[in-house]
Amino acid sequence: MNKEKKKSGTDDEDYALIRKFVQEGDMSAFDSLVLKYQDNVFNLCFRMMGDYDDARDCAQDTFYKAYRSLKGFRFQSGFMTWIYRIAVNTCKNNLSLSHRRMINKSLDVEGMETEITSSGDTRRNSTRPDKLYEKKEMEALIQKAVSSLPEDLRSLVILKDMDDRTYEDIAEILDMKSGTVKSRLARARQILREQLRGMIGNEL
Amino acid sequence: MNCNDIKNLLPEYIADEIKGEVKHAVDRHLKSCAACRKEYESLRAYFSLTSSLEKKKAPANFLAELHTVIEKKEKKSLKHLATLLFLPIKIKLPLEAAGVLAVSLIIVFFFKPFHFIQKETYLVSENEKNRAEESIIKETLNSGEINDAVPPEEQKDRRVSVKRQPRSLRLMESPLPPVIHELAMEIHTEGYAFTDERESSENLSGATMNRMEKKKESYEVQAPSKSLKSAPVDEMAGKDADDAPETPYSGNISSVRNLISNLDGTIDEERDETGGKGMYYIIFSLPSKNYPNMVSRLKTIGLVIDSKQAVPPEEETMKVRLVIDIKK
Repeated sequence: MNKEKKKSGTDDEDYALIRKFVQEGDMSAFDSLVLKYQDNVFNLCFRMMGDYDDARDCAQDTFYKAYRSLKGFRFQSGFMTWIYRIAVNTCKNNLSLSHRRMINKSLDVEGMETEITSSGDTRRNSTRPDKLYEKKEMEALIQKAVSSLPEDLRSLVILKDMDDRTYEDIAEILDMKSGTVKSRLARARQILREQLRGMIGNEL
Repeated sequence: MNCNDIKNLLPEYIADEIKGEVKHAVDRHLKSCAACRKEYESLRAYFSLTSSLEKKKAPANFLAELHTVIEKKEKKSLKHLATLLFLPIKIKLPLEAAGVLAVSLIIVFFFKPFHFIQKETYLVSENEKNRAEESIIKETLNSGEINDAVPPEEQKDRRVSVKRQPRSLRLMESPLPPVIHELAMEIHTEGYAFTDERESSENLSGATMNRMEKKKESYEVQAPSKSLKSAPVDEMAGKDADDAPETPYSGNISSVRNLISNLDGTIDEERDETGGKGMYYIIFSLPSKNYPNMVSRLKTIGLVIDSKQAVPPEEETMKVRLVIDIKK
């Protein structure tokens, strides 16, 4: 079955950059791809790993793998789907290797403060410090709940509910059927809602 | 639609991805079903939480760091390759050398890649090789003649050593007659003969031999009578070979040459070693169909022992190679 999907304008741009890198060895084309997708990949890695440094390592590892394998890119899927697949697999491998789970890690809210600062995040800071602290604490709790999910469910929740990918993209990234994506996602959401019951109650 | 259907549609309903009649159906159901309404509120709150999460951005120096990582890993992969191949040198180099040696030996043993060198050598010194082969054959036979006390096993060993010419030499049309395709015979005035098929040699012992074997058949061989008188070859031409009277060898070598020529033969080599108390050799080839005739006619000049030794090869087109030692 031909899995080639409809090409978007973004895909065409990406394909041109890939060809330039692969055929002409133009490193600036590769750099353009990195700059275009580094935030998405980094965010995905951060949600998967639950740790800033681990996320940076995984994201760099992801792009290094892309650098090594772009010659084999078959132009049958979008670059973003392709790089996401590499990123998810890299994160899963690293999680398996290090046996690290965020659920076993004490969440350091002050550490997260550092993360945001070191990431060069210049987002508006008009919120009052106590509100900011409350928001970071809430994020940490959500991240902890997400990290407690099994890896396959975790990647589903991150891709759909936090990164707003389509079911088709998720199916391709995780190499599973759309129906499976929906059913497993429902299960993952159920688990998360139970874990976040207190916060959801507050929201209500 | 029942509650399960509604619950399945809720994510898309909250994301406002459902339109038309389906949306109205969900609206109506939610108004009337408290359980589904609770589920809806819970799911909506969940989406509100997850979508509020901040999108993390990559570090500002991400690209520069990535370049460093790529550079390091590329170097490391080369280093890793070198480590795999050579390090630790004390262990891996001897092992690799042993491996290369073992593979080389296997190649040499099974594929014999240097056969062409043997061929070159052989072709250059064809005559020398011929002589060497003849001397080996003679030595083998003479040893049986001179010393009957030599155990048959030992004689057999010598015979085997003669037989063992490299297979490649036979395949390369060596100047020595291949065992299978040609029948070579030496005919001596001394009264013995042997074929190139060495398996027959063990039953031959110089002048006393009286039996030749070719494959499973055997042929009687008689020693030439020294009392035979000579007769010119020309006179014998046209006579039936079996009726031809046995005459002593005249010593006229030109008659032998004529005979070879008349039977479409070609002289491969002619050697006069009579000066050193040796013999006069004529080595020639002729079509195998003329072989019986040749044997008969040689008999008329006292060179051939018995016409029964005429053992033509199976195929008539093949050449038979004869070696005649004429002792003057």
